[in-house]
Amino acid sequence: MEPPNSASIDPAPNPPDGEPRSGSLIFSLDQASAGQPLRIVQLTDTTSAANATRLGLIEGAVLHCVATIPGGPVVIKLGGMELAIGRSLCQTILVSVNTP
Amino acid sequence: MNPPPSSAETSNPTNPYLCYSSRFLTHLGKEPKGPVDVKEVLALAGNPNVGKSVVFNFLTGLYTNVSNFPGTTVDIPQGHLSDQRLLKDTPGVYGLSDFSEEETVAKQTILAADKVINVVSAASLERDLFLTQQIIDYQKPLVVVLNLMDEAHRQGITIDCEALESALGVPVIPAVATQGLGLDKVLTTTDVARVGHPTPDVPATAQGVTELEGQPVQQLHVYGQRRRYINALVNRVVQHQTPNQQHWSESLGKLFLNPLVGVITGLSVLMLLYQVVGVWIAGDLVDLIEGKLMLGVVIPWIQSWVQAVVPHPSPLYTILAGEFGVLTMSVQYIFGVLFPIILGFYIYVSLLEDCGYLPRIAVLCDSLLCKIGLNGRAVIPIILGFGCVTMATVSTRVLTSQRERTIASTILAVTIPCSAQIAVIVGLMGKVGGFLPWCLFLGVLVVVLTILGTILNKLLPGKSSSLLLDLPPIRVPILKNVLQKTWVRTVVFLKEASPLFMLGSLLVSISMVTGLLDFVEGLLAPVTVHFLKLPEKTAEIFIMGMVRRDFGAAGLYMMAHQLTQLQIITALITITLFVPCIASATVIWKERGLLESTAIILGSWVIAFGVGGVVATILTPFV
Repeated sequence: MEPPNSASIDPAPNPPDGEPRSGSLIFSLDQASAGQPLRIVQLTDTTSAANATRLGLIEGAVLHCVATIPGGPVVIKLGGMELAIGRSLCQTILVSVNTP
Repeated sequence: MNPPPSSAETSNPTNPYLCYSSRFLTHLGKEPKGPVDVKEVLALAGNPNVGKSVVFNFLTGLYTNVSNFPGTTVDIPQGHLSDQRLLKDTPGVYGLSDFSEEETVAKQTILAADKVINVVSAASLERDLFLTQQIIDYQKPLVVVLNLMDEAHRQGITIDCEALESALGVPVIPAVATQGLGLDKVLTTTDVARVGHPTPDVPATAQGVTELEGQPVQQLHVYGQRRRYINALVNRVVQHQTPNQQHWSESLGKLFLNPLVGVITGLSVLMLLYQVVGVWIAGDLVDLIEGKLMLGVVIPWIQSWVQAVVPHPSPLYTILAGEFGVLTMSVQYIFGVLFPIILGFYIYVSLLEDCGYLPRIAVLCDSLLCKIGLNGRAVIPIILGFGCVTMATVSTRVLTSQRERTIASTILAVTIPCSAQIAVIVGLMGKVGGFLPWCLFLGVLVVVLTILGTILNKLLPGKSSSLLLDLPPIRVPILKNVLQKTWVRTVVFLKEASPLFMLGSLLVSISMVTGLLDFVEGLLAPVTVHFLKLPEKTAEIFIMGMVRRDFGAAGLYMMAHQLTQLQIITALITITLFVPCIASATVIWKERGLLESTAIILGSWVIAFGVGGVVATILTPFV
């Protein structure tokens, strides 16, 4: 499945269109920026979902984006561990900003 | 049977260290129990980087690999707990699936065991308990060692061990394995190992779980159920307070992920590696050991022994103790060259690994490696390749798919110069001098690597896996662990490579005696003279490079005064790209099979002479 938003990767805290992300906006993990609290909405790739589920990447999981490597992986913090996720896998993980 | 450990001893969340006592008592306490002929097999299971190997070492007295990079323990070390009880270590895995070769090995070992000791990290309980719960669902009697209590405490994590014990339904032992705290309880507690409470709605038989998890759709469903069950359980027993200030290791870990800092530290690490392994060890130390000790003392001694049994000028003598002899060159190369280089390299890499830096390099390199069909994990074999290609080829086992292993092995064999070679290359480039020749030489290697990787990525069927890598915290490495790990790795590698190398020198010696080597040299000479525009004698150097990569480069060094700048660069490029040495060729053959290894080796011939010829042809008019 194609990522819903294929705009260029921007490490800045706001998306390229300048609009702050709200909790309702769904985007793929590769679009996230460092410091964002996120909640997983859906895993679209079934082949990698089992492996992701084991590590705690499931729908509803709350995570924190630690760092994004431009063009490279996204590093997240989830349940006490830091996980680097390759960009192509990130494109299959749909998230929204978590507003407690 | 021992009574169950009292909860005051094992499960006090505020003071996990109450149960501390000398490790020697543990060993005294593990007297054989029950009939002598009964053998009980225990498996040690856990996620990567939870201190599993430290626990294994403590329990068996035999040291194994303690790794900070996920996925470096491939073999199954085992040790006796007593005459009838055997403990088997398993690779660190996140669950009992078949997502990689290592997982299959871990799964089979764990499911075949009578009881399981499961080491979990108190600092990442949510992640670790998936495996625990899966082992419970498979109906294995289990003991949980709740390790890294100190790290959890530092991160403001409080675990109610009593509640955890009753929620899981298995004994839980809090521990700080690196300090030996709590580990003396482990063995006695295995006597009361229990099958815990299975995940609700999952069939309560091992066979039922196996069947269910064998089908992808059901597997995902069961994993989801188990994951949610564990998350809820962790919420009940773990309390999390945000620590007042960020620990230095977290800040440092984040800093290493910054691309600019990453490039600077990465380059410094490589420069230092070059200085230590390339210059001091592969250069100075090898000169000393190989030149003085081996050629001066050991080899003449071996030759005198062989002469006593075998007539001196005879084909058999050449095979046994000649220039490339099985008894002479193997010994000279394995102990004089390989051993110091491998040892030095493994110390360096183990240090990087244990401080948690290596996985972060993997993260930074991921996007580049994705372009050639690999992912960040492949930096390990590539860095090792600058030490010894043979060693690096073995380490491609950390890669997840066969596709990635093929690409990595090919790139290693063709484009990466090993430290023995680098030392000579640097010396020769020093003779040529200047910035431009260096750029030309490195540029050609990078271009070949990129094109080769891209082509393989396009040609090979399937799709390479995306990076999913757990980053261990930055830690101060424990020197003892680093040294022991280095030693184990070096010995394991030499044990594996030595017979292959002896086989290699046997083949070369036979080719020499039968005249095959001269024949190949004769075939090569026209290509060398007309296409590469090099003197005829360089063909001999290329053949020597096949025997030992650094021999080839060293032979070139000796005749450098007869060559022009361009000829030196052409010859260096050709010799770097040319077939890997006989030791790595045999390892490639063992790891990748006959067909693939033949393709890699023939391919490297074509690439080496092709690229060398193109460089010579294009540049000749400009010189």
